[in-house]
Amino acid sequence: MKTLAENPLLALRWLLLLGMAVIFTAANSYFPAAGNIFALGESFALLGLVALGLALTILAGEFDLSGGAMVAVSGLIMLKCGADNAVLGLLAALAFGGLVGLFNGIVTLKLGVSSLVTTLGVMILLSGFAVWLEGGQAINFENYDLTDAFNMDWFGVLSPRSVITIVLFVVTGLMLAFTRMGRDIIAAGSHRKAAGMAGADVRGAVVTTFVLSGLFAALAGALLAITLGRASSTFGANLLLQGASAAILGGVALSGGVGRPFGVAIGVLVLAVLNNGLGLIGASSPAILLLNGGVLLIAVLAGGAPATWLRARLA
Amino acid sequence: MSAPILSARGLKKSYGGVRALRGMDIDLAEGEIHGLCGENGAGKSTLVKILGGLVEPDEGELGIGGMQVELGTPVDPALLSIVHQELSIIPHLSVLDNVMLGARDVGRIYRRGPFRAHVRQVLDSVGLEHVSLDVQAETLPLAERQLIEIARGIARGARVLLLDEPTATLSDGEIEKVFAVMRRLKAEQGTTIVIISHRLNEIFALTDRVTVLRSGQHVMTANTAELTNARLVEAMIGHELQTGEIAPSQAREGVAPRLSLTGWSLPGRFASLELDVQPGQIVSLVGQLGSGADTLLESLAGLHPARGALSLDGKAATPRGIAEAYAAGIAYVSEDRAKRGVFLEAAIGTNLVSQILDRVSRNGWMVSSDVRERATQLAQNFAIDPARLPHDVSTLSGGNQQKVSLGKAAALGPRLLLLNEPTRGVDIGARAEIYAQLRRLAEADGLTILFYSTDLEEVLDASDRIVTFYRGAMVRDALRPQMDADAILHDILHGPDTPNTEAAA
Amino acid sequence: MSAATLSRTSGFGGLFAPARVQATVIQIATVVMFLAACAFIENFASASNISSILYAASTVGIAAVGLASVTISGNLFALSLGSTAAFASIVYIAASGWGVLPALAASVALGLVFGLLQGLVVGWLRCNAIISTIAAGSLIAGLATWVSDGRTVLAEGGPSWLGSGTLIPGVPWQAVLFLLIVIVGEVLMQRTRAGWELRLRGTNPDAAELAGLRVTRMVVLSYVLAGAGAAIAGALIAAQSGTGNLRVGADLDFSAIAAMLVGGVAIGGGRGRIIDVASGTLFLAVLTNILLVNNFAYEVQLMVKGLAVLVAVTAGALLARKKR
Repeated sequence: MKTLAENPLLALRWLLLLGMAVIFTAANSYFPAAGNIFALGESFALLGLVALGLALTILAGEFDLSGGAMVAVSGLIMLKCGADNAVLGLLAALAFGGLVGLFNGIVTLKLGVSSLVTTLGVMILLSGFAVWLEGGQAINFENYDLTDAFNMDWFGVLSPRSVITIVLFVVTGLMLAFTRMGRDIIAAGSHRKAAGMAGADVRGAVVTTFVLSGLFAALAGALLAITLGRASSTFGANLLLQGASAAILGGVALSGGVGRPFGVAIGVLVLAVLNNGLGLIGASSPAILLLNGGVLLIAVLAGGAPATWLRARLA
Repeated sequence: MSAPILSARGLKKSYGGVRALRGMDIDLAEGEIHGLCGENGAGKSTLVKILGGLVEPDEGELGIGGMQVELGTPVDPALLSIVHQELSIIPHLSVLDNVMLGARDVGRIYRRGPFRAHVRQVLDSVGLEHVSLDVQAETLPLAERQLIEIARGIARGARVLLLDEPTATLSDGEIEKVFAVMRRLKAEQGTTIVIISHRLNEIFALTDRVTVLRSGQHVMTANTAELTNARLVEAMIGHELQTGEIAPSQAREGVAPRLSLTGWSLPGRFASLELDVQPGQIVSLVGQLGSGADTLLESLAGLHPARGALSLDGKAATPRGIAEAYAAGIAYVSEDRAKRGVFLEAAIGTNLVSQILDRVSRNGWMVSSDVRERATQLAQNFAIDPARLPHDVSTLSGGNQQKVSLGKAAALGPRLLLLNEPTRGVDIGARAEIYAQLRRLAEADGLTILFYSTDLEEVLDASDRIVTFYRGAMVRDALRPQMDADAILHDILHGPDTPNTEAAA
Repeated sequence: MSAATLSRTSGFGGLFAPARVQATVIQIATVVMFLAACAFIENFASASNISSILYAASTVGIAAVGLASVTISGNLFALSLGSTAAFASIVYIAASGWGVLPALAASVALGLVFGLLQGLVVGWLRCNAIISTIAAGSLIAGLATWVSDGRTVLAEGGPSWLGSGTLIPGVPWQAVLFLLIVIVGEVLMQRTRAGWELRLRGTNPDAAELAGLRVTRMVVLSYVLAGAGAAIAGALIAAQSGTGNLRVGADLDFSAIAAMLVGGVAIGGGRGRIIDVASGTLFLAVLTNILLVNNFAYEVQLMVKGLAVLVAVTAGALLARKKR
């Protein structure tokens, strides 16, 4: 009861996750099967990396709107540059993601403009760039060996992508907890001006989160392109809003300084399980939209006045 | 004097067209406590920022510990460390992380273990024995955050420690503890300490020497022992302070009370109390943070749900929210000027009429002639230049911002005016103007004013009647002539003189 | 002089005050770009081309004006405009049998209700503004899909005056409606008590609350306006095409935000005017049209739009800093 009183959102997302798992298992016996867990891991990998990058920028008191569009662009770069040499393609995609992140960070800091504005411009720019790269048709990847390698499973449930994503979540969590940079990122988001006066490396922290956000989104796009064996300018659609939803659901506060990768992972899982389960039981498209909105509404209410009221009652 | 630990020559700095510093020299002797005095806008904060490397001066040189320092880059906090006027505590970091923030001896990988013992010891020394190292700073009250800020400066073991108004939010008991630490640092480690304060009694109590700045220039440096209060004030403002002793108006017999509280209480914050205040009286509520005095003031504005009855001019008017308070004729001025007191990014004129929009509009449409008239009139009453009305409040100095904050509350034409820390961070000249205006409002309009303050000088200067609080209970309610600083301090630090409390203390 | 006495926009110098410089520069740039295009680009100044610019600007612009009330009141932006517009387009077509105005009124009523609900969640229940509107967007899209069964609804009969009628050649009725909404919005925001309270809430929500301003009502009002704006935009798109479906308003959210930001409305609240929204919208519409008539592809238009946002905001920040 104590945790519920202190943080209703924390208890709520566990409740949602477990509740959904039980319901979907009851509704469709394939839900807990290894093949479906594998599929869940795949969607966790895509949304997770975007949400993690976005969450880092929110944690530092900023907001990166360009992550979704970056997924589309980096997938296309991966296949364009990596047609002959996959490593080259991956490096190109990552380099592009990192550079765009660097640009976002520097412009935001130099101009003192809200990053909502700068990254919105970059987002529109990237969507146009993606259409241009695509040149009218989806691009296919001819390196079937690599695609196959990325579609293999470990222990039936883990894919290379989901393992990479889990590792990055853990590393990011450790970075925030046990490095000076991690502490400075939280400080920069919690109280920017104070952090600067106290001598924390605010600029470094903010730029780092944007670069990481760009890198994570680029990695997500590149891995998606390899796994599917194709890339399209439409791949990033919806990822931004879903990523933001996952981060908030995971306990990241838009005011900055609050939230951890573990929570974000749970938030991503909630959305992944919801959409996977609804797909399995053959839910209609309005039902999927309504339930997504409903889950988000519950999360948002848990952070508003009703939760404060509840907390006062329970305390 | 031996070679100075810090020596600055010819520091100049302009912001746009404003010359904040016009050639400042200062020398600090090793192991001295040096006071820095001057009105707001005299250049103290700019000087501090330049010394700390947060601001690059246009001209000048700076040497610390015998070495030339590169200006405009942050100085090694082990050499010189600043405790800023604005709190620089990070709400979502632990106390330990806050103290260690910015320290150079933290590696890329942040191992907290080795620092724990040292930080614990420093926290204990400033009176934070009860605060855990791992608790998040946002859960702590304001005064404790201020003490953590000071602890950060101490923990860095800097040879020069600069404190920019470190005591603004502290109670006198806490201030004594901080001062004791300062004296010990000086005696045991030979630390040089620079302190900026508006409270002149602190300057006299603590410092060895004083430097006075005025309009960005060095006015004098003198041994504190050879100074008088009057001489110091004269140096700061350039002429003698001409407020004179404000004659407190006496309580009149047989006048019906304006404000009457019966059984007024807020469980856990302050115990049930009775209070009658006459029209035209200025009453100060005094107590340390947490004594209940500040909460009492806020509860009168409907900001806390208190129990009991509040009546204005004999009519029940217990406000259940700030809007009800305004409607009943109770106005409130927040202690947090920038965050809650004024709209910094809106015009001064807009601010002044912001609480009376219903009176300068008709059927929902703003009437511009009324707006202009009311704003101009309020500006004149509060000594704000009417020509500046279209400019943003953020372009004003702290003192003038406070006048806007007061003016916008006074615009309501209240019967009861509640002020929380009426002149925090306001320089002496503007203070005198604000006190004079409050006095005029009380005398001319019969306005009743209640204010909460942690500043003893202010309590003694501005009030007719003083009510002291200790741990949620009223200690004494007396007219100003019957009170002095010692009596107030005794009340708020020790409570009433009953055998019980004595024994408990 | 008017109520503008107390804002810094009075007089010529006020136009270039730090807070107004971006808005002024964009206004001048829009006019210069338009005149240059008229002079140098063949067929640009033709009635049909002008009217296509105005069609594009009117829908985005009306949604952006509604959105601006949310931004100016200090709640960043809403992300439910696109799905509100989609739902409104379906309602408009479904009700078009009753005539143009009743159908428009039905769409607007829908937008008002959705806006009111979001306003209550954000203003009264004090929930996070952005996430509430993302959730609302998903819920509204779900409802719209359910109601329309995911299909496109087609209008009966021919095109209406609202869809393709013009006041004079080159000036469609939709543009007249846009102009009216801008004027009404500008006057309400600058001259009414509610407008003042809304703007003050945007500059400092805490101070507005402590000053006893009607902050909850203002927040609710801003979302009601945003919902209505999005619904009108959806109805206009439906009237143009004679169809209502879920893809109407797909880009509306970010197009409206872009137009507003380019015009000089500050994302942080309190700063910016409704006429700025109009000039930002026209700037982007003219720019896009110039690319279009020069046969630049869709992707280039997108990239230029992204660059325009970056350049306008960057230049605005730099100019403001220089003046300070």
